[in-house]
Amino acid sequence: MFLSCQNAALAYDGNIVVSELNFSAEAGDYICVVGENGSGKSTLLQGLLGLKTPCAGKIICSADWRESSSGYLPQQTAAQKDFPASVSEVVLSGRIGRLGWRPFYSAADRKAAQTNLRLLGLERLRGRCFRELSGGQQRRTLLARALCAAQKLLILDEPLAGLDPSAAQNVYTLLKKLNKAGLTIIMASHDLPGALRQASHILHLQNKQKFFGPVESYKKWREKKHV
Amino acid sequence: MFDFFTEMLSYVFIVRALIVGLLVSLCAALLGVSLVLKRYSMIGDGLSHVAFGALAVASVCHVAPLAVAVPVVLLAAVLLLRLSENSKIKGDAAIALISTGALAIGVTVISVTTGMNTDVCNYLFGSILAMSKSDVYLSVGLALAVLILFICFYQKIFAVTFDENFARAAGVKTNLYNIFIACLTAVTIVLGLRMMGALLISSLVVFPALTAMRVCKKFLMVTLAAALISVFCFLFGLVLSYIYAMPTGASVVIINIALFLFCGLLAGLQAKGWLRTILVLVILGGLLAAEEKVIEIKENFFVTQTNEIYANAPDYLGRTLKYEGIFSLYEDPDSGKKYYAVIRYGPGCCGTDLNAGFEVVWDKEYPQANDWVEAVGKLEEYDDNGIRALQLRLASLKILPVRGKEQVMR
Repeated sequence: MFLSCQNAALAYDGNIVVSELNFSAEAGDYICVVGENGSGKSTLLQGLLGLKTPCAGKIICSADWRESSSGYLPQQTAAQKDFPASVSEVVLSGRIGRLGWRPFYSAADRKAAQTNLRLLGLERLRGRCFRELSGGQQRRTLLARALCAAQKLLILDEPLAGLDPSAAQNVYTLLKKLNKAGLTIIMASHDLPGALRQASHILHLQNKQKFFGPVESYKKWREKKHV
Repeated sequence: MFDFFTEMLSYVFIVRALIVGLLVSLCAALLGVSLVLKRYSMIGDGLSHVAFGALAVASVCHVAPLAVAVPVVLLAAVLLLRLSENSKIKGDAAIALISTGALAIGVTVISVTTGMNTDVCNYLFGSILAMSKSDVYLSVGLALAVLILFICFYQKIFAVTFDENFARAAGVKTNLYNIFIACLTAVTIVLGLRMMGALLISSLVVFPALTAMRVCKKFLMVTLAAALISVFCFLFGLVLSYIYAMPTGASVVIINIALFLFCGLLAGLQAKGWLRTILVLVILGGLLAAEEKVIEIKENFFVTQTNEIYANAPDYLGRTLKYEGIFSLYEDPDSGKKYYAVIRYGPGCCGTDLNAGFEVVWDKEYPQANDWVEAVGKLEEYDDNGIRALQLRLASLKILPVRGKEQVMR
């Protein structure tokens, strides 16, 4: 077992947003969290990362995951609009979890940042100021940063928001490749067809856990529900 | 200029203020970038008031002021952060609570015991005389510690400032670093407080960062620029306060404001696309001003430089030349006309035509021939019986007691 929720509930500003969470993820899973706006997807992801403590139940994760650094792509950038930072500085900061007590990044860190910049087609933007980029470019920069950070787990909150179709397709291909290489991915998404194509498991939320299971059984569950 | 600085630095208290001030402004600027971006600018202000209260209590109890103030303000920094994370009292309200509370305690303690006097005024608005020798040692030590810690944790500070949630997910103990930043700020503020004043010290935190953010776009650049700006403003402010006998803290802040507005203007012009035009105009103006400058012909390349002026005479007409040489007189045997000149003997062996220098005219009395003089005058062209010749219309001609090299080879 990699990560599991046992009857967990999470609150946002004192109000319970999502409850009755009972699922577990294994290493190498690719889970898509689907549901309407306000159904508790982002809150759940923050709970899984340990940014929020559950107000009821438990979220348990294995020790080796807690110790390694997880990549996180927030839905809204917590960074302010006027923050002066270049794209390469932002992406390199993804390696922060591996810095330990060293004061500066090593050549290996820089190389990893370079690779991820290339994977997301950001090479030409590396010297640009983050705040001056378009929404889609900012999104890709933050995704590159998350990839830099992810050792075992990658948690993405709507990674495709604001991306054009070809960029979105690239991201999907990239994620599939990383997942095959052994990375566990948990991602909130509004793109259901994409999720059904990509994921191994689906978690359907509507302030409560409506469904959790492999993609095939989710398809059947949906048909039953709609028919 | 040099004499001025030697005179200024001959005062021990100014040297102390300079050392401590430079280190404090450096630390404040570095931390300021992070504080301003995290929307914690007011923490500096709050902590300075707490420091005022602590210093007041310390001075009343006759204890070493820094030894009391540093731990108290550190405690307040941690408390402030804890309070602003607590959702019941929001950050700005928490700061207002603590800062006014501490200020009230400080003022009460002082007025009950020693009465409101110049000490209070010095604490509030700063005094350059505040540093004792032991204070300087402690300040230098603490400031260096802040600097070293900042450099060691620079990457973490960036990550925590840019996106706290992400940094936490990546395994950084963000709360620890928030407290760490607040503690470094607390120490910096206490150190700078008595020189800058409780009411003015937080400007050291805020202004350089804001100014740097207007012109730079990379975090590293912003940090370095803020440090540079802060140090520059402090130096300039200190000199200003020395010359015009103004309070040090206030002059540093005024310089900071001026630079902030200037950088804002630059950024605004750039945004509107006017920056290049203005720059070109400034450069042109500079060139025009340089036109007016005196051209000095030095001993080293005397012949070369005079040759250059003769060869490109049109470029030099109307310019002011300044050089030293032998005043000499020559009378044309045919026309009887007298020529005056300031020259040096050139590389030729005996012919006078190889002497380097210019014919001179002026409306006052000429000195003796063979006097060593310094000539300053405007180069002009005139018609000497059909020959176009150059002459120097003198503005001044000084006889110098010490003679330079009469024979110049190049």
